[in-house]
Amino acid sequence: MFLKTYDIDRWYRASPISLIFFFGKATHQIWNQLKTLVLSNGALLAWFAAGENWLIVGLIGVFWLAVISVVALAKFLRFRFKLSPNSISVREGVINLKHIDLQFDRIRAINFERGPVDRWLGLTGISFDTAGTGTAEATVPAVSLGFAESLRARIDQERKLEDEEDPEPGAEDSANHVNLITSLSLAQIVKIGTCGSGSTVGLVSLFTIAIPFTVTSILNRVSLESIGPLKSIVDFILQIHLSLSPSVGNTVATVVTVLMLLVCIGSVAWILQVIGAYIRWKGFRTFIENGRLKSVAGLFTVREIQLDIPKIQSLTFHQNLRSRWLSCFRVRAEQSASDAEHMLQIPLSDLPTNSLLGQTVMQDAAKGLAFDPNSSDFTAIASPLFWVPFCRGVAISVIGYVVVALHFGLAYGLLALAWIVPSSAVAYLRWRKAGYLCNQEAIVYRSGVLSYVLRSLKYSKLQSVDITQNIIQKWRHRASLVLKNPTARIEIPYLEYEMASAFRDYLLYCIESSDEEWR
Amino acid sequence: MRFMFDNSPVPINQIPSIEEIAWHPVEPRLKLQIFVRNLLHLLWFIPAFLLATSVWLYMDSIEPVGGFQGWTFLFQSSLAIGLLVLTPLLPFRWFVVPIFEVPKRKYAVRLEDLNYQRGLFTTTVSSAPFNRIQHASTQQYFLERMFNLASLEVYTAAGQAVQITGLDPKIARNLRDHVLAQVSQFKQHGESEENLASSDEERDGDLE
Repeated sequence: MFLKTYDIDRWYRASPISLIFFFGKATHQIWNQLKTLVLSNGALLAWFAAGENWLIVGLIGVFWLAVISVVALAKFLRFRFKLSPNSISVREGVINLKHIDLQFDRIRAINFERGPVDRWLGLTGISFDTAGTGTAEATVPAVSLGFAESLRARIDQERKLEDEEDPEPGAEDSANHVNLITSLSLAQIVKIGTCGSGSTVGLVSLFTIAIPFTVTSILNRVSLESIGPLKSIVDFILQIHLSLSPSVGNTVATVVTVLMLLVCIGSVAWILQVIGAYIRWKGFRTFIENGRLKSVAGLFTVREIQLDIPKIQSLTFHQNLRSRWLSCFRVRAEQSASDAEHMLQIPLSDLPTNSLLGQTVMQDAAKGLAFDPNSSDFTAIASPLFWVPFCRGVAISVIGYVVVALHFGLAYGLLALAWIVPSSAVAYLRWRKAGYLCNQEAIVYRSGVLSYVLRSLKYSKLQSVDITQNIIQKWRHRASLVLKNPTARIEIPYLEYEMASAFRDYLLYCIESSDEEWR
Repeated sequence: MRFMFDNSPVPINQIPSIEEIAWHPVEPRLKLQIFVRNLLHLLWFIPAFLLATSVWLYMDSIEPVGGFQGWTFLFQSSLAIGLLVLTPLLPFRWFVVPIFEVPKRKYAVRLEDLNYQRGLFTTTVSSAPFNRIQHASTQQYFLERMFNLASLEVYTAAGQAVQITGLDPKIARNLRDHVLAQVSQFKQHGESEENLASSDEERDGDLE
């Protein structure tokens, strides 16, 4: 069908609308290259802004806008794509030239990404994932939706032929059904904003910017005029500090003021995070359609991601400290070693949804497995996982104590000894949380310190198996078993050597005795 | 289409064990190659040593910043500890350990997989089944060519599964060809099974 729009074996340039895509890509690329520089010079920019040197700030902005525009235009002019009966080729790059030839039967996922302009003009960006790479193998921006749909149908047809030749057990059962797995309400999006790691990053970055200004202004009484845009905020904080000082004393007033400031910054970061979550996850739903796991989400840019269920390599369930309080999880299903943009993510899940997802993806292999980190079925890891890092922490503290005490005195040396407390706590928590649960076809591994991570995979998806033994493991006659597949790596430490060895032999037997080709 | 599904239980003691296979050692001249390589690595330490010594002497010659001698002490003590630890450890790790470690590097080829074990203090045994291998290649870097050695790298969809260094180039090439032959044999076997299944399906369809 796409032949009506694009001729076979002819190189095409992307639509001029794709300049928006290339602009975004260039910005992302330049930001990735320069973010360390920008972040480290953030204080300098803030100083310019505070000193109201707006001309310099503006010139810097115009300079970078020009650089990004030139790079985007060059990228657009160099970009070409070509369709062949069984493959798509993409040629791109300005300095480093890249030529990719993707066979349709090797494509593992075709994802659509539609920004507001794309939606307005009936266009979409298509990205193609294969098994081998960490990011989308190729992206063709701003093609007509009709063409994209027909190309996907063509690739699906190719893959269906392959699947019909070698169906995964149970794949037929799941075909031709549309089952909603989960969707999100506004309250749940607020929860995502609360649990997101971005709020922590936001908090830290805001603290980094705000603390030097406020602390210096409060403690050293620098001229408020030099603070520029922050003047009114600092003025307000200073007033609180001054009003508290006579009654509770200067030190307590400073502590209270700084705490209030932190709460204010935290609230702003939380609100920003919730807004970000709303933009990213508005209208989110995950469902199964024609044997594929699909998700659609986004307020401005709508991302549609689909994975062939039999080709999903691993399922990962995350629960950070905030998610634990709110009893929710973040789930990731990966078909290839994709970046976060191209793996299927469920930003908010609960235990029944975890279980449903586990059964959907792992099918019969999920029998007897629990996707609940608090399940008592998990087998604990042996105690050396605690006492080895504990002893290491103690040794480091004692060396630190000797060095510090020799020069600064015994009192300061005790501070170095205090390192034992956090290092022991981390070692203990890591040991208590580690555990595994397996049956004859699949394994779930639990890890974490304050948070929980559950990684699950089927043995039939394994690529290689390692056994490692360090000196302590040799002494205790134990070993670590390392299971690797394209998207996950599970290391079970301190198994009894015989058990690790028998487990490894069994896993190799499972892989090698199977006639099915891995996919 | 799969017509029969055999899922009979397998006696655990009949699962083949890696512990029982015959391992082949890598070439002993690998020790010499590692020795020369580490000798070249040692050259990097000369500028670092000169820089550290100059900073030490400079710190001794100037007045402590703000009358605080702590920074000088911290720098000098950390450098002294570093030197005390590195001076015996580095030659041991680079020039003594390989003498005992290289004989521990062994590989084994079974009908269905390639296995490699290495390590003196931390031992690792890696196994890469042939039906998961994507490609295999041999490499000969400058120093390896000098000592007539080669390495074999085997990749699965999860990345590099095995890298065997210190092979005789002829053995490395033979091993690579064997691995690739096994891989293509698995693929052909899979395809022929699929063709057989589809022809059976067509025949059944004709009969109907």
